[in-house]
Amino acid sequence: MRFIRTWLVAAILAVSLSACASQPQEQDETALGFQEIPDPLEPLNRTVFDLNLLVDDLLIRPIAEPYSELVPIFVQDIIRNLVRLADTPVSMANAILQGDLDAMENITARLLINLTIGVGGLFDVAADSGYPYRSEDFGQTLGVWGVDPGFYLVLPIFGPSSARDAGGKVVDIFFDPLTYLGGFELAGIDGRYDEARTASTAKTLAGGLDLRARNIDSLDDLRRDSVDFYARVRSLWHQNRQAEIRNGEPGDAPLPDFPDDFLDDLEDEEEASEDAPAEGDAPAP
Amino acid sequence: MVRGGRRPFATVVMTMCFYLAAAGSAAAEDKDAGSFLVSLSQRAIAELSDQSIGDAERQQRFRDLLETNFDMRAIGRFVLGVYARGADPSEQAAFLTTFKEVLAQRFLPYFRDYRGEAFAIDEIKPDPTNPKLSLVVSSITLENGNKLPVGWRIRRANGSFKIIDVVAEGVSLAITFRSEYTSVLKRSNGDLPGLTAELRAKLASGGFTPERD
Repeated sequence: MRFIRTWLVAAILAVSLSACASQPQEQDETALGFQEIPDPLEPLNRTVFDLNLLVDDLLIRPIAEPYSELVPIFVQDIIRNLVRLADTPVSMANAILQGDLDAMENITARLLINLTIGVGGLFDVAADSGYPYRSEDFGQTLGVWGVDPGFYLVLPIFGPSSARDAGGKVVDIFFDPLTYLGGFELAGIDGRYDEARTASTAKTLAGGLDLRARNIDSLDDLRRDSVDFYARVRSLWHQNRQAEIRNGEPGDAPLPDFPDDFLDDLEDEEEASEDAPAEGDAPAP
Repeated sequence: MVRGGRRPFATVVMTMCFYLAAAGSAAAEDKDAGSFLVSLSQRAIAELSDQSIGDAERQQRFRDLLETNFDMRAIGRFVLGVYARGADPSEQAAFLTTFKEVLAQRFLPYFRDYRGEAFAIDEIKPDPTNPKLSLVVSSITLENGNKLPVGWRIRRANGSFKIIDVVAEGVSLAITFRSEYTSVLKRSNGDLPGLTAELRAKLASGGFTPERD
């Protein structure tokens, strides 16, 4: 029962978070066209963000770096392929809920190709045959249904999220067959519970390790050249998430809307200053 | 802080750089935004990857290309968000000068070490958010054969084309800079000279130089 109760609490939390997410937003004061994600919990989020960086520095990175350097790339690829394979049911459930036929075709084709030619999912042959990996989750599904992200939320360990997506993460647990490993009604019995938990945890850990190991240099770069790393990550995460929800091509990206009056102002100034020296050539202090 | 299974941001940035480089000069007689971009790319690669010149000359060329082909005044104002309004013009000018140096330190190394990535135009259309802008969708083929789609938002001003934003993997360069800079400004009650000083300090320590393998 302990197991079921835990998930019930989580489900209620998810629903209430999603409800928060659909509240109307106040326009962020810095917004000019493209809307920044509201961040009413910024002080708390910054604290969690800093703690995450600390955990990363002390624990995750020291594992991810040697993993990335010492484990042969084909082994790393196999691990990633298996993690992605294990995520197939979650993606499929969400593709169906989104009514996304392209995604359903992609996920089915990947499953069939990789399970057969890809030797039980060890190799991602489908990606080379025009079916690149894509993941669909319940946060995206809510996004497709028109639910706003709500507010920005930095989760311990998992990092950037939003009210909507954190709720979605919980719902996805229910779509994951690993959750029910050993039978749902038996899940409260200790042995089975451990089994289910072990499988899910192993998948999550392997997926997280893989992701971190593949992004060591890029995250270093991001962190080093930021003047506000927290704000940059928040923006990148939000833009990326918007693009995922649109299944984005660059043409459909969440482009900054340069409003008409912004451009009109520029044009007026250009006409007015045609003969004047250009602004912006002043010497630096 | 991890971004689910996507190409590393560094790759994106690198691609952008190529595109920036690619964004050479607009031939005045060339009325087509796509041709503008193609000729800019060729010119930027030729000028910036030239191994016969020194760093000072390379930086000057980068600045010239940036000035001629990017609408730096519009971008500089955009990235300051609401804080551009009411800011002292000389403080804004100082910020803009510094911002260009940040771009040079961040992106020039990719051109200097150009590795033959190919640039192609896939699609040209009116910008979905504003009919006054054109959106050129291009793709850069990386060394490993992966194609990186990059969008260019181009504005025609005074008869010439100017790039106003670069978008890759759903991430807009202008929005990303704006989010970060306005966050700093918000926390300092709009202290623009403070932001400029912080950027200059980072510049002095080479903090924007990308790490290369």
